[in-house]
Amino acid sequence: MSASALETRGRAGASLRLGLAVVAALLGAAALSLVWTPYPPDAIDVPHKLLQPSFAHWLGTDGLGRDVASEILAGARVSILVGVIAVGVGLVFGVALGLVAAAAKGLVEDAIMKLCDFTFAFPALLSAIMLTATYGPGVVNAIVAIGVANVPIFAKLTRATANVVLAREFTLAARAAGRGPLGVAFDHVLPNVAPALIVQATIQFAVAILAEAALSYLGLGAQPPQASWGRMLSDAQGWMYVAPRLAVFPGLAIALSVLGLNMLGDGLRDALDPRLRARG
Amino acid sequence: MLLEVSGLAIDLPSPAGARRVVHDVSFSLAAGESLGVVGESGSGKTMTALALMGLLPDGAVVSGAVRFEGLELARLGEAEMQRLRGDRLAMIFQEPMSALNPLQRIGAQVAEPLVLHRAMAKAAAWAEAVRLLDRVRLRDPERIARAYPFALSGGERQRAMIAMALSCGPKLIIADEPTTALDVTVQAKILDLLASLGEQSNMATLLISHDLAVVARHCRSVLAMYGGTLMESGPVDAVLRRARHPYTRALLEARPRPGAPRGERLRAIAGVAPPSASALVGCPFAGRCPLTLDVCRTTPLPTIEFEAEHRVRCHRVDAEGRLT
Amino acid sequence: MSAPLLEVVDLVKVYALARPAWFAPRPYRRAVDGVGFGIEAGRSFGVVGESGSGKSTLARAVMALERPTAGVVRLEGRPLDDLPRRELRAMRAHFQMIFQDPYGSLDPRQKIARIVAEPLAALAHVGRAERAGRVEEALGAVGLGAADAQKYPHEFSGGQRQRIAIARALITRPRLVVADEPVSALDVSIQAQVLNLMSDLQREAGVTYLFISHDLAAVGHICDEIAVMFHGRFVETGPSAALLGKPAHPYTRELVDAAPKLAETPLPPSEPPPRPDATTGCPYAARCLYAQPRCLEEAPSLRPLGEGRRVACHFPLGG
Repeated sequence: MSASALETRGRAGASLRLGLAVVAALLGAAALSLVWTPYPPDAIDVPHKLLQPSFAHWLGTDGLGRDVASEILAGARVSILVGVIAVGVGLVFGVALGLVAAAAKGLVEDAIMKLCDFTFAFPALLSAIMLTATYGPGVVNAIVAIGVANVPIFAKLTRATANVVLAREFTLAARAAGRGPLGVAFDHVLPNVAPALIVQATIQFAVAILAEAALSYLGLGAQPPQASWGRMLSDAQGWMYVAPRLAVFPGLAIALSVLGLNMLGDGLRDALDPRLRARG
Repeated sequence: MLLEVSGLAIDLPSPAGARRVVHDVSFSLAAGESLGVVGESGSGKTMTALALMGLLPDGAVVSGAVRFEGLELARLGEAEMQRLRGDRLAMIFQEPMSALNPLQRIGAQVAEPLVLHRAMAKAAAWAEAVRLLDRVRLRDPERIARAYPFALSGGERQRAMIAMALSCGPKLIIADEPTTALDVTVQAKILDLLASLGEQSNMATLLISHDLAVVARHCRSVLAMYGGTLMESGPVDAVLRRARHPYTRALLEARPRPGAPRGERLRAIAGVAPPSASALVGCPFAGRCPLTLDVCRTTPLPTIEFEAEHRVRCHRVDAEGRLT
Repeated sequence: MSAPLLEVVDLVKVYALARPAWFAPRPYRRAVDGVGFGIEAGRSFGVVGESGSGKSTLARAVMALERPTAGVVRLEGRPLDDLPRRELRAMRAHFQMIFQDPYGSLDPRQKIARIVAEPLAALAHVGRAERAGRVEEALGAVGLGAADAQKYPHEFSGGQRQRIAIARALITRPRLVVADEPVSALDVSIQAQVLNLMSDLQREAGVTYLFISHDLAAVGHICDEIAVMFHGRFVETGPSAALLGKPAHPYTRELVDAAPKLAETPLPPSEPPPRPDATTGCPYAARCLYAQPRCLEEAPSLRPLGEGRRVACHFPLGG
């Protein structure tokens, strides 16, 4: 994608720019939290619990006196981690399976697709619950569950787009030139399915953030003292009548991240596709 | 005169400002006549056709006059144009697969203009659609009406599109490269069909093609366009036998003749057509034309009518049609 | 007479179609139904037919992109089917293909240099430096410049893209080039340019063409010998001039008549009487203007007509 994609005019360009801005802020928050937060996010300070937002505590404190702003920053870390790894796992295995299915066709293709359908049938939450029941709760299990749930999504998408690409003459030309199936897959199919994958990846990133929040809300994801937006929501439940802002801040963080990622996906879809199909 | 176009110019929006793709095109067409428009990709022929139908992309600016049945088309609003399209004025396109809705049965698509413009009931329109499919010489029209586009061959789909275009008995049918995507044998049959339908219903045909031979066989008069500009126009016989414009002559010579000595070099036109006519003053063919002189680039083209209805636009041709 | 460069013997390719109902028998389509011919080095052979005639399937079978159901394809005497994968890949340097669609046969995401150099990847002994030189040489041979190597396909017109496809086909200096409708998607004026280029390359590089098209005139221009294909079989073969000048098979005659011509007045086309689609007899009988009862009963086979010509017809034209 060239720099000129950022100059894409109209709503698509705005979507792309806004999306990039939000994602950059998310990444920035996570990176920042590694070196500095206003207060240690897990510093319990019960005498100063439930404080209103002020100059000392920008977003106030929660039920145990922890600084909300610091927790939000640290929570970004977990969200990014889960998003990156879960989507990464989905991409690596999903794309490989999808390419194999598209290239092999016949029984192999059917078998792979049935396997995907089977995996699809288990929502990430259900798998996460099963995993935690067996191996105990924690971020790692959440990541594994969400990652595995991503694989069939990318596998199906890759297979469908790869089939379209394989039907075009330039892949036949590559075979006629003497390329083997691996060469055709890496040099021709992959670059041409990449735009669809990139867009789907941004969507799956948003889904992963939501899934992690849900799992943490249920107590199955990030465990204290690790900060997580989902866990913050869960804790906020007990204080709903006294300090509803404790639910609003993490909720807003989740909503904005998801919105930003979706906008990035929309913007990328428009920026990548027409450019490719532009004819001289 | 059914259709009179004078001084048509079309500007399309582009990142670098307005781009003129058609310059000063004028021609007329009487009822029942056939006119062929020949040119390479980028010559502006499709844009001209779209301008007649009012189907240019958003932001296109049309200047000049287009009178159809006495009505000034440029002054009509979209609602009025919609009433004309499919009813008095119809168009068929090059790729029948993308011009037909893949998810709708053929019969329903052919019947659509009837329902729209003649307020026919669905059943009556379907019956009429089957009759039209028979008229375009499709075998087993009932089966075809019930079928979806993917089940038909290219030639059959094109006939179905013609049936759809004819349904309301238009006075003018515009065919934009209707046979370019088809095999040679099917091509001939489709063009013959168009010609005979035109005769039967006194319908005028505007046939657009990049192949002069296709136009020569089926049209009474021909227009050669290059770079958005009219180069030569006139009755087909006159243009074929006494072509004066260097571009027309080059087109005539570029076709391989069956029976010619094998390996003989074809007289190709060196270079490429300009991707679009830009803001130029002189002749768009200048530079690629073997007879180019300085005047060709600097002076606007004259229009020379050197024999009845045979016009040529070239600086190198004098009033008697001789090369200067 | 030396062994032919390309030899095709009794080639058959059958496709299985989808079953119309669960337990109904599976229908088959004989795309290529017993085709045989030979091309000597330096001479060019054309195959003419409409869509559905099987000519593209024939092209792919000759290029070993599809396995024939029966029959043999021999290049330089070696049957392509029997070759182990590694050897077949190495042999591909000797035979290359030009495709029909200039907009689809080039990978839109690769630069021209990479596209044109792709066939060299199968040739192990061509190093990086030599590759660049060969790309420039190939582009030059088709009238494009070194600067064009760094552009993308969408920056070129249809005719230019076809030249790039030709450069790609020639870069390994193959002996045989299979051209599948190389000019059909181009404007008539550009067709002439590309056909001239192909003729020139034939003279200069000694390339042998297998030229497949539905356009008789273009085929006649490049090829010494033509075969007319209908429903998977050759219905007439012979030297181009004779075949085009005096067609013996009614289908060849139909093709010659249908080709848009500038000079002559067209013959009024007549429609043949409706006939049932028969499974026996000559496959062209349903469309033939001259069909007799015998044509519906007995399928004719290719028989010599003299002067190197063969025709599959019970009542060839011209007596």
